[in-house]
Amino acid sequence: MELGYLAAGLGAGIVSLGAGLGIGMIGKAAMEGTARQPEAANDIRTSMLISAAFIEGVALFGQVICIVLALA
Amino acid sequence: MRFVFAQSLLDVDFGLFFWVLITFILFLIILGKFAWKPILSALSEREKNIKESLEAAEKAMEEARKVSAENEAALKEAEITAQKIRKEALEDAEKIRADRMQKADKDANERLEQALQQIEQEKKKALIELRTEVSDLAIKAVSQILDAEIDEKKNKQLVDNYIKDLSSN
Amino acid sequence: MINLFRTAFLVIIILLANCTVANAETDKSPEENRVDLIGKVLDKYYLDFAPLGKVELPRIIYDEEGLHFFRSTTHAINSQRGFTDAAFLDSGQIPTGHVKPVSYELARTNGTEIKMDLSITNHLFFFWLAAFVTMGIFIPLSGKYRQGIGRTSEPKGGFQNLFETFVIFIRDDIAKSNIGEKYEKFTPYLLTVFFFILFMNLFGLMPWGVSSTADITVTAVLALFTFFFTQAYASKDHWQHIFWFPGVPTPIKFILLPVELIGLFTKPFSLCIRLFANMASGKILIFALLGLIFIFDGLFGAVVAYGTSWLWIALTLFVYLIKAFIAFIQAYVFTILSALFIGMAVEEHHHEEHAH
Repeated sequence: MELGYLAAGLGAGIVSLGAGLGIGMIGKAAMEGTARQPEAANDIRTSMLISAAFIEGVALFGQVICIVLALA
Repeated sequence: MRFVFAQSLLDVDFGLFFWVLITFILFLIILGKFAWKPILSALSEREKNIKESLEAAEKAMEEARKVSAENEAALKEAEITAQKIRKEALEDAEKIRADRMQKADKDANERLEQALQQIEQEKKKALIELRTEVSDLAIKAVSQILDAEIDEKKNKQLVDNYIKDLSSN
Repeated sequence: MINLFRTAFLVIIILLANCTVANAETDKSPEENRVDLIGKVLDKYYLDFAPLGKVELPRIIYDEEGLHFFRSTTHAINSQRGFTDAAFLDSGQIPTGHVKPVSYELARTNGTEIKMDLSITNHLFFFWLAAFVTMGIFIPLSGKYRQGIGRTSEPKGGFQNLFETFVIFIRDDIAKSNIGEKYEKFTPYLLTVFFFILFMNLFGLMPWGVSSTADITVTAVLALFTFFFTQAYASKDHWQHIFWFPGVPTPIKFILLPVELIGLFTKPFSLCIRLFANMASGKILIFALLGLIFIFDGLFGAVVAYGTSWLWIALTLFVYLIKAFIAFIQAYVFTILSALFIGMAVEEHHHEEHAH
């Protein structure tokens, strides 16, 4: 029971770390792309949001598993 | 103090599922039929209208451009024609003038010549008259001087011959 | 955002270092200070107008005896029709006379099972409210279009202009650019989903309101619809790509088959979880931040709790603003991903591309 909470907390942290890194990289690439080609800003923003949403989806799976662990 | 993670956070509740499913289907149908259909059709119709009127305006513009080009061409042509006409008229006028001049010249010359001829004739006539007069006078004078013996006729001939000689010289 | 959290973290560390003296006061039992964080997010059988009170919602129970309708949970317990609160049944003694519900879970006194609980719940109430608001906005709006305002002339007034901008944005930037030429069939669904999710999310920001999208059941139904639309209108190529991927050697086809099959189901699953987790986590975060005041009260005493409360309230305000932003972003993301999945399934591939 106690270890489950520990695992849930650690897992949530690690998941956030990975998702943060991933979304950060997307943001960086999108910024660079927009700076290089400001006329494509709209397309870049859309694709950025979509890729961020995918990464976020993976992160949320992790978070859900953490919640399940905490519930167990 | 304790956080309580309730079990049912990730549970799918059947009752709620049932209601949500039914509501959402109804909701989709109602909204699709009464809201989105008129709105979307109105929007696309408006866009079509705008597009069409834009196209029509474009077409009208093109037409206007064409008409104006045509007008311009016609104007140019008219100008050219007018110029040609003017030129022709000028030429004609010149020709007429030249003709008139020529004719006038000719007339004048003719008249001059006629006058000269007349003068010549008059002169000749006057000369002949003068001659006869002179001969008459001479004969009269001579006859008067010589007074008679000599045939008048023979004398006249003599004088005539003399005058002939005179005039031929 | 990171800066703020860093500052908050530092403040917590400093407070923890300095205020250990106050610890002696806290001799309250854990049960008394209990903070039911997740319980705040869960579905309930009443509308919570704390501190004014609760409005209980009707209960519809289906069991072996058929359907039972009750005006409220209190009514159900006191109706003498064999229903009681599950908490009473667990504790072993069923109180007599007029009682108030405790857990709001109904149970049969004779021990038979309740087959289906079709009760109206908190989330369902706000789900319906969002549905009515959406209909209340767009059906009169469509009447305007029917009359010709917006059809032949330009839209009139801020209201029509505002929603028309949204509608055109979804039609052009979400449906048309992600689905392609077949977008017209799916635009109504995408519009419905966008506005519906948006209003449900926004209800969570209102006082006493809850966002129904913070319930996995609701998001599961929405994702199910996207899944349904994706599969129902899928092209032949879509199925071919799942079961017999073209343009790769035969052994790889067998490897790709399970991958593609799993991918088929993870897409709606991620849609469902994403929306649910975003909305629920925003809610939990707000409660957790406000709960810090009470945690500090328990740890260091009332003075520290009052002293630091402005910080937690400022942070809550910040999270609240983020939540307002997230309400729009998640509605947009759900819609655009739905459009993307539908577009991927509907698309007709050109096989020359894959023959490499």
